[in-house]
Amino acid sequence: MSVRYILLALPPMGLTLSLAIAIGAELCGLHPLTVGEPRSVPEALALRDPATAARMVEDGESVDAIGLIRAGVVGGQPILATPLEAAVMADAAVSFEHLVSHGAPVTANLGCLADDVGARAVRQQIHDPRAREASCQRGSALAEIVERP
Amino acid sequence: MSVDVSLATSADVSVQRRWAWMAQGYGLVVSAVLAYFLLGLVIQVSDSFGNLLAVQMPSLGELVGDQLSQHAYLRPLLWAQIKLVYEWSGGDYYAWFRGLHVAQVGVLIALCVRVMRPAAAMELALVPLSLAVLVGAHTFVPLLREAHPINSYLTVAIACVAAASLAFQARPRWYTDALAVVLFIGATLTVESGILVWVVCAAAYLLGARGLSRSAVAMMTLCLVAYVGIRMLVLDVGTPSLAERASGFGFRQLEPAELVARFEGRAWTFYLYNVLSSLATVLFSEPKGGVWRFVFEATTRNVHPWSLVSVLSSTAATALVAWFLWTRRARLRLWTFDEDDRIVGVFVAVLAANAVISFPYTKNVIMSPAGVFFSLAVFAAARHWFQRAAGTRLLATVVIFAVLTCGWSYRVAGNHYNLRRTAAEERAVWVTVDTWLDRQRIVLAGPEAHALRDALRADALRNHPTPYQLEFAWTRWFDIDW
Repeated sequence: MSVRYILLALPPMGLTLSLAIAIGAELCGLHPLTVGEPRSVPEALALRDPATAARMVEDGESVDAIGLIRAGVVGGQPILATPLEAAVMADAAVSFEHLVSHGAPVTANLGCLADDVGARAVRQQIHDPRAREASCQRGSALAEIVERP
Repeated sequence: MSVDVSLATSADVSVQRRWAWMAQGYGLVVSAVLAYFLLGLVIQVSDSFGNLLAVQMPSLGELVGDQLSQHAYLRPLLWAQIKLVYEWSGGDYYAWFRGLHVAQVGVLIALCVRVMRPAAAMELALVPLSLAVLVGAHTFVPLLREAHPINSYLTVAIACVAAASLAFQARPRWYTDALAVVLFIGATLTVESGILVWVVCAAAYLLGARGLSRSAVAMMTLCLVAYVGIRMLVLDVGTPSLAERASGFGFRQLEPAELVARFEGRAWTFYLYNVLSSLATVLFSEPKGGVWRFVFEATTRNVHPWSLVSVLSSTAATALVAWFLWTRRARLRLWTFDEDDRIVGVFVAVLAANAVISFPYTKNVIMSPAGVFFSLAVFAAARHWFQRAAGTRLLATVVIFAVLTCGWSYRVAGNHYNLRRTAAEERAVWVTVDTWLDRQRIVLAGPEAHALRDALRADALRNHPTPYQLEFAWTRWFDIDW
């Protein structure tokens, strides 16, 4: 087979074989293109995986405990956040609703955080008057989470 | 001497078969990769859960009977298929419905490779490009991400390519004739787009393909006339009205009330827009679902790489097919066609017919049969290019095929990435399925309905957890609302 035919087939074939290799790696427990299994409810939400977050909650994980979101999931540094804060940062309205229905406390700061990250869908879900009417200093709610010790 | 010729011919056939088998092997790898991503999806809430609830209680006969008195749609076999698989599954819904979806995609890819029939190294090298055009197309995406819980348009696409494969055989046989008629009846009674099976067979016959006999094509034509007559005169099914559903127009999606307000009394202008949009979406990836996304992004100077590459790669593929048609115009006057002419000719017929039957509203999925044949037409045109033009037009060859191979590969990568995202999005709806049921005003009647909800929710959240979401430096290049 001449070089030009190999070049012709290379981009689509290379992609397919790369995907096949990535699948093989995943089946062997390696995760070259992912960060692997979420390790906490906030991390599952940050990874846009509400189903895993819901399963963890239904299996007894706390709905208000601060959890670690590993470096690389949201920005370059690790973040400590509650499940509701993570839901706001991911603008995951469904998860927000699910967490609240399981007793997660809506704090005044969440409305400000939704404004800081532009979480419009979640903002509409916040019915708590304290959170809706809280006066916000732009960026402070997000900074509080990022700088959390 | 005759022995030598016979040996040479036998050797040639053997070599050709080897290329064909290698192509099928590559198709199998493409199918296997897609299957892995498809099995990451679960039975979705919207369009699937409601349909499964609908087939729970009625008998098969009642379901089919009910479909004969519906307005706008006549799809009795679709409901029969859902009912049968539901009953056969014995409660293992994920394995049966998702397994069927995977099998359907595999069959479609194998049939496409069969129609291509690569018989040389150069033709084998074109198979990955053609399959990338198939799998990377935005009209193919809904065949992957949606199931209701059986994707009827995927069924039609398979029937169309299977019919083409039969029509392109060297000579007719009674059983291939019978199979073609069964494909037509089955596809047409599954979803209206099934009449494209007749378009494929009739166009292939007109272009000189003789894999189906004249009697078979005549029988299918009679069936088509009977279908139209019964649909219009006996069952009075009609067609979808303006108020039936939302549809893209201009730069956004219009709700049914807006469509009525804007087009009542001159619906034909909207229908004409839909037909032209459907033609353009296959040829240029623009508009998508009737919405001119790329044009909007270009005018607001905010073009997403995905939109740009989609339009460029589709336009390059269309240019190649247009070049082919131009170089073959003399054949049209003489009405003598070879295999590549027939493949491209059938694509043109399917594209036109598919666009016309899409007149009530525009959706990418409706144009999926034309999208599938587009990939076959690109294969035929590219084969012709390398046989006739590549040696003398080196620069053009490099530019066109660089855009085609790299552009369509990018689209394939994006579709796989977005299948992972869809896997998470589908499961998200299952988290709060009761809220969804309330919004849809669906009341779960009886313990069977509750058991079905619980089983499907458990599948989505526990038995088949979300595949890990892809996180790498270039995700924003694929991060689109597909």
